[in-house]
Parts: sequence; C-alpha cells; structure tokens
Amino acid sequence: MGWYVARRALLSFFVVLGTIVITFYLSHLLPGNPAALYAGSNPSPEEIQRITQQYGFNQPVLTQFWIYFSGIFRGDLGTSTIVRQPVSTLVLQALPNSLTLAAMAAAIAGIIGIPLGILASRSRNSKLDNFLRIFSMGAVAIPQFWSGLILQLVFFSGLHIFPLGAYGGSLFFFQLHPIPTITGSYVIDALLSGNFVAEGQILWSLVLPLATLSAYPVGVVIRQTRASMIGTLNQDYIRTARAYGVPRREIEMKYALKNALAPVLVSLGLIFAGSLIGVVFVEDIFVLQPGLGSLIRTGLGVGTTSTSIISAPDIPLILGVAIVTCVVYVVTNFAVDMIQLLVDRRITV
Amino acid sequence: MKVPNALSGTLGRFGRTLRPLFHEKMFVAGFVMVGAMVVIAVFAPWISPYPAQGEGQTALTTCPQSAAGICPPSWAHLFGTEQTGRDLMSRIFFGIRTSVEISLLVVMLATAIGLAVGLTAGYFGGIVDEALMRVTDVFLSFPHLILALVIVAVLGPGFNDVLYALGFTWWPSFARLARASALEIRNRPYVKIAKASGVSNRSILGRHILPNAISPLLVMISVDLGAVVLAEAGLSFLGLGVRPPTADLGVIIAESANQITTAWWYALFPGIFLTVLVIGFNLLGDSIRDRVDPRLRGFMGTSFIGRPLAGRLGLQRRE
Repeated sequence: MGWYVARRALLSFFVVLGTIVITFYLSHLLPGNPAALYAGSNPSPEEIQRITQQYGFNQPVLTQFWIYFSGIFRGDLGTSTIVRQPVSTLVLQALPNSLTLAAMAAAIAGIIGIPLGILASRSRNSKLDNFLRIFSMGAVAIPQFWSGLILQLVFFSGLHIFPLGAYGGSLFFFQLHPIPTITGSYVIDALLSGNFVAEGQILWSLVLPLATLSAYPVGVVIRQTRASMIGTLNQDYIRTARAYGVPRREIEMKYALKNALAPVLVSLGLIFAGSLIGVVFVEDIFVLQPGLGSLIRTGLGVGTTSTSIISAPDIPLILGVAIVTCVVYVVTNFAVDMIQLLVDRRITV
Repeated sequence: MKVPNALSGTLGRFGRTLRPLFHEKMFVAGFVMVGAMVVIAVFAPWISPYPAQGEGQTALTTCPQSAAGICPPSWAHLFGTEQTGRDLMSRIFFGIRTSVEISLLVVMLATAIGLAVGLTAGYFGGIVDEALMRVTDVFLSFPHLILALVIVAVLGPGFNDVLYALGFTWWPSFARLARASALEIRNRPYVKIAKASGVSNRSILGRHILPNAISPLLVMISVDLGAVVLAEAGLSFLGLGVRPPTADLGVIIAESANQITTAWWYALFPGIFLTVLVIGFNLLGDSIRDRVDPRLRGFMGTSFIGRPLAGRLGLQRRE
C-alpha cells in the first residue's frame, strides 16, 4: 500500500515536472526570440535587454531552465506583460472563485445526477429512462460556451428573470455590498461574513452560470450511476439477497447503492477538476471576475467576448495559469486515488 | 477461413461488424446527422446562398436592419446576417467545413503520433515502454484544452497552429490503446514465428502489428471525433482558432456574444449546427464502440472527464 501511494505521488510529481518542461520548451526553445515573447507588445530594445538579463535568455539552456524551474518553486511565475503585476498574485486572486464554481458544479452533478441515475436504473427503458438518456446525450454534446449564451437569451433577454452576468448581477455590486476578503471566493466570503443579502444576490446571479456549467457533469453522472447500479444489481450477492426474500427496496438502497456509488463518487472528484475548463468559458460569457476565465481572456490579448486581437499574448500569464491549473488537476487526481484506496481495498497492490 | 492479408482482413472484419449497426436507431440517427453535416461541409461552395460571403467577402447590407445593425432572418437571408452584414447561413456552412476538416486532420495527426509511440512501447517493452508510457501519462493527466491553449498562445492562432496544438495534445489515449494492442499481438504465435525466422522488427511492426492494432483505434477515433470538434470550437471561441476571413462556428458564436441581447438568430443557428455535428459524431462513435467491443467502454469516454478515469483504470489493470 505504501508502495502504491509512493508510486502515485511520484507520478503526480512527474506530471507537474513534465508540464514545466513542456511550458519551458514552448516558451524558451522554439525558434524566435523568447525575450520578445516575454516582453509583450511593442517592446523597446532596452526592455528586451532587461528581460534577456532577467530570465537569462543569453545563458546556456540548462541555466535558463534552472532560472525558470526554481522561480516556479519559489512561487515566482514572472510578471504579466499586460497587467504589469506578478502572475502569482493575479492567479491567486482568480483561483478561489474559479475553484468554488467548479466545486459547486461537481456538487450539483452529485445532488441531481445520482438520484436521477438511480431512478433511470430502476425503470429501465421506461419513458423516464429514455428521456434521461437523451438529456445526457445532449448535455455531453452541447458546447457550454453556446448553452450559456442561449440561457442568457431566454432568461435575460426573453423572460427578464436572471441577471446577464457578473457576481451579484452587476460590476458595481461589491461597492454596494462590501465583503471582507477571507478566502478570496465571493460565495464563501459572503457566507463566512454573515452577509446573507449579498450571498443571496450572488447565488441568484450564479443560477445561469451554474446551470450552464453543471449540465455536462449531470449528464455524465446520470449515465454513470445508471450503468453502475445495473452492473451491481446483476451481481451474485444481490441475487442471493433476492433469494432470501429481502425486499427489493432494501436490496437497492442498502446493499446495491453503497457499492454502486463508489465509482461515481470517484468520478465526481475528476468532474471537479475537469470542470475547470468549463469554468473558463462560463466566467468568460457571464463576466464573472476575477477568475481564471478573465485571466485567460486578458492573457491571450483578445478583446472581451470578441475575436479581435488587441495585443500580443501575455506569455508569463498564460503559462502561469496553465501550470497552476495543472497542479490543481494533479492534486485532485492524487486525492481521488487516495480516497479510492481507502474506500476500495481491492486496489491494494 | 482464407485471409489474403492482415490489413484487408481487419478492415473486412470491421466492415462486417458495422453492417448490423444499420438496424440500430442510435447509429442510424448519428449516421444521418453526420452525413448531413459532411454533405454541407463538402458542398458548402455550391449550396450556400452567398458563397463569396461564406469565404469572407464583406457584404453591403441591403436588408432592413435590427437595432444592432444586422438583419434578422428574412427570405433573402434565412438565418439573418452577422456583424459585417454577411449571410449567416453561408458563414455557418463554411464554418462546418472548417470544423470537419480540422477535426479529421487532428485525429489523423493524433493517430499517427499515438501509433508510433504506442506500438514502439508495446512491441519493444522494457525500458522503452516505461519511458514512453511515463511521457504519455504526463500528457494524459493534463486537460487537453489548457495545453492546446498554451501551444496556440505561443505559436499564434491560425489553421495549422490549431491543428498542431490539438493533434499534439490528443495522441496519448491513442498511444495507450495502440500499446495495449501491440502487447497482445506480439505474443501471438505467428508473430513469434516471424521473429524466430529472422524477420526484422520493422517489418513485423509494419506488416503484423500495425494492421491488427488499427481496428480498435478506428473505434476510438469515432468515439473521439465529437470531442475534437468541441475542442476546436472552444479554442476558436477564445479567439485562438482559424484567422478571419475563414468561417468557423466557434468564432461566429464568440462574435454573437456581443449581440446576444439584440440578435437572437446570431447565436442560435451556429450553435444548433455545432451541436448536431457533435451529437452525430457521439452517436456514431458510441454505437460503433458498443458493437465492436463493449469492453472498450472502460478505455474510452466521450469526454475529457471520462478520459483521465480511463487512463487511471488502464494503469491499475497493468499492475
């Protein structure tokens, strides 16, 4: 067991290391002047000179890698060329909100998807089952950056129910309802500071974004719960229980559910990490700032929700976001593995 | 049974497996959707109402305009027009062309890399296998889109760059599957005989391993195509896709976001076509997979969520 944990930890470390190597290769070793890449739009020759010195672009490749690598481990991800602030500050500002959104999406997926999946497995090939099948199929295929817009179209432009975007429904919301920064995530901070009026408005403004974001994982969880339930119900011990005359309801809820849900709960962890991609789109469409979505939009040098290029891409910012996303992803994967190890003793190697 | 050579045997088997699929509702639905989209993609220059606008020519707006300065659907423009007054239907048709073209090329590139890495690892085994698979794990444990985003950000947007970015991030799952096939095939008696009689590694790989490893990969390709289409559209939506004036569904949807409160048709139509394309590919892929080898279900999801899980399962199975 210790060996398994060590192996997973080592692999996780290699993934992070691999990401750093890949980003280093892309930013430092491709043909062209890396200093120009790091300098942003229209740099002066002095600026290029200074950046060459700072990142050591005139030094041997290994030295460059060491500067890059040790910088990352000290938490120094460079300075954004567009916002002119340390990338680590920007990312740390953005991350809590984005992680909260991803966690809420995973929670919704569990709360809605698991019961629906159980229902579908209980009434196989019924109208409900077929409806849920079609729903999941659609949920997995509809691009989130489109479904978000369509929800805005229907519920903002059409029915005037929900706000168009931004936390609390307007960009000035936090001037009216100041919230202390505790964790950096608006949803959590409003709750912690007991400001329930603000919390209510924030959650109200998150209805459409969360609907957009969680449709996909809800679809995945429904399918997975259904398949897992059916698979478990076909096993020998269930047949034995049935032969003993245990009521169907008790078999399903007491004996089958526990085993059937283990893989689903594991995948909820992966859904949390996977949702970060969706979060980027949703934050972009619903103008939820600060967040990884707006950071990426800024970093790419692309205008807000349009495709016109305003400036050269902010390479340190993009690389920083990528590395941090990767770390979140890897840590989640590792945590999921460890939980699985505790839950499912068969994995013990 | 006489098999002329391994390749036609494999494809023949694949073909025979596919025939009964036409009795399945899911497959037929997917086939019709993808078929319609491919027809639109191939014949876009002939069936678009304004082919020149589809290719990027800016139009003089002559129709009655809405508040946003663009035309709502009318007989002249069935789907309305977009922000430069171009016919939305023509733009969408040419956009589908771009989506289909890029997705197929991405999958080809990913298959080529995946085959090269996977077959080498599986056939030679040992330290080669270990090294190549650890690299694969690194790529596999990372969300496609973030890596693709970094690549495009550095290379700069454009058709080829999107192609490389997605192709270079999509190969790991293919490599893993190719490796699994190679591991199994290399222990078959005829491969052992070939090896014992002094056939070179290269020709064993090319003539025995490769043809037999292709069939499961074709299944994986069909399962993945929908996800590739989505990823390409996603990159384009963020402004990292093909450059104007080339039409692209992701770009059209991104541009429509500014007009969402004033022009409902602008966002609605391109998304419907994109969704139909993705659902079609998913239906095709899932029904082919279930028919050819339901066991592959563990290996393949239709999504970035399913994939890391599959990767981890694969890792556990091997140990």
